[in-house]
Amino acid sequence: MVFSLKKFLLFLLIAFPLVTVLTQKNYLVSAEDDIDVDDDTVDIEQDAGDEVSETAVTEDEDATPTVTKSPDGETTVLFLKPKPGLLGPSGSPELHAGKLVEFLVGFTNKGSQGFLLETLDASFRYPMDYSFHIQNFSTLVYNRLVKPKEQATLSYSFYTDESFAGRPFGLSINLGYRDVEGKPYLDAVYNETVNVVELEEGLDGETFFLYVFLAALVVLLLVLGQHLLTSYGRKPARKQQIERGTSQSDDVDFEWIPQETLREIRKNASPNSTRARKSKKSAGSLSD
Amino acid sequence: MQKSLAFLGLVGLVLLASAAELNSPDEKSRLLVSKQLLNKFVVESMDVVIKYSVFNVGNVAANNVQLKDASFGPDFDVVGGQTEVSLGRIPPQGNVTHTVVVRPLKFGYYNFTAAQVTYTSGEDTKEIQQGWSSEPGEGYIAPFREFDKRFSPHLLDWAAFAIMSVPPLLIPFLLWHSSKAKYEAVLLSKKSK
Amino acid sequence: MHKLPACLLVAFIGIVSANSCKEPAVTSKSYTTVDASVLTSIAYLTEFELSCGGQPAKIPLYAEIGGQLFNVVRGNKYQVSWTEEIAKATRGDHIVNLYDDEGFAQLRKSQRSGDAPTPLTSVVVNHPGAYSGPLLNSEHLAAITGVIVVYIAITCRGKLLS
Repeated sequence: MVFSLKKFLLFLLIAFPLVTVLTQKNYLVSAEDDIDVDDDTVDIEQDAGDEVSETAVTEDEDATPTVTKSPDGETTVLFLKPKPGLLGPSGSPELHAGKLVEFLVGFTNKGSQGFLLETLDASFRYPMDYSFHIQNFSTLVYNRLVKPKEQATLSYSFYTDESFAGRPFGLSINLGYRDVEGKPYLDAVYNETVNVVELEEGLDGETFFLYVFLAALVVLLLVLGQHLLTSYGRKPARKQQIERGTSQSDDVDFEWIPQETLREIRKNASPNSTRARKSKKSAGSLSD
Repeated sequence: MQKSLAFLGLVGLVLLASAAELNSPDEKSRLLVSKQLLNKFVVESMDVVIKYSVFNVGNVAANNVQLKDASFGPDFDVVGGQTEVSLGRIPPQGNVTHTVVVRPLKFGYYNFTAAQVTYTSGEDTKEIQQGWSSEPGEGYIAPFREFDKRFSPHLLDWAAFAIMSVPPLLIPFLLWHSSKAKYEAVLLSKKSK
Repeated sequence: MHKLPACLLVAFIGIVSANSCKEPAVTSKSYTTVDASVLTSIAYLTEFELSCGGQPAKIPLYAEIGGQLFNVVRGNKYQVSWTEEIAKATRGDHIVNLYDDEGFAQLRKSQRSGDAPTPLTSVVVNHPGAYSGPLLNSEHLAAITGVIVVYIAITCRGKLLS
């Protein structure tokens, strides 16, 4: 009994890594396949490959094929942003990277009983295999009752990520609703491949002036800094001047000079120089 | 004679069928109505801009389109626009917008609900279609005081700050200035001596 | 002898059909959002009443504002309203040209060919410009004042020391 348990454990130890490796291989292969099928631009695709491994390729579990739309419910979808109808210059639907996408979903109740519109969700999927989700946008809960022969509009908006630029995606929009008996329905309102394109924007005035203002601020700071630096740098120079000045200025201490030398200087300078006398006087007053 | 009658009948049938085809369920107008708040914040007693956009995604014109928004009760003051209007005729692939400006009189959570739209599809049907716009949903109406606290320029506060910061600057300066004046007076008197 | 009145009649009908509203007069009340600090778009609204030769009229109208065509909606009064993003909103007078059915048809034709018909009448919506918060935040102003005070103090000190 114990032996068999050991064996089982051993088997588990071998089997578990094997299984994980195999499954991972499977994932890798499928991802690579997708990349190979994806067209032209190679450098972006490599990026995309990285993203694939990161942004969790999950298999579709919630969209069970048994839940379909009700024959009494009719839906229409209208994209408002980036532009009505969504058609780009190439004729295929386009979204703008990093920009808001907004759409309306209209629901018409053609039957004789009410429907409760519960949720609306949007997701990006692989254009080649819609069961692979790339990004799920939030599921909005509406809980709106649509009476028989009435119509209702729901609005939904999401932002496309800027890193998704230049790639095709399968955009899938699903409306989940129930009838009065509680039977769930799921209507794939939109299920098409869209291109996410990078919108080339000219420099808009506000940001331009912001940059100008920032540049002006930097220049101002530089000027101020330079001013301060020079005013600090000037100080030692001034000090030297002051020191030079003391040697020439009035209050000079002559006491260290021997008397006979002093007398000689005075004799030489006596006719026109009052400096020495003056200095003596001021020195005297200071000692007062 | 019978043959010709039969032929006429056939022609009539074809005509009827074509007429029916003209009025077939594919030929109808379909309106999508969005109700949007064009606000960054909804603040008590400040403008709230509500924009209704009606899009006709059908293939015939919608006639006698009526828009009615009864969701603004006594808690709102309609300062611009009308909440019950006739939008007239909307051609296929056309759209019409309508704007109303209201001011909430109370603050707190408020559920902005749908507006009602009625119209007749095509030129000659009398059947009135009834639809509801999208719902902006529940939003928070901020009290004006809260908004003011966050976004007003706080001039009074800054003035108080300036006044309070004046003494610690001015007192040392005055002390220094008086001593300087004294020193200069002494120096002057010495010089003049 | 019989032809003349017939001609006159035809001419009269012609005038009537060309201008379903004679001597149009409008009394309007406009509203634009002035405080843009909480908004993403500026709303322009005008509500007006139309009278034709002194009689209040309830005819379908269409509006043209700066080349764009609008439906004029009708409640108790006529209303023309549109919104513009704050960055794109222009201040000053916005002229709303009003057309009746026929004028509108002509206008749509003329948008392809070029010459616009004269409008029935027009309404002016004046937007004085919107306040979207102070140009300079007070805390920034205070910081700048502080920097200036420091600068003055340092230069004074520099002068004194030299």
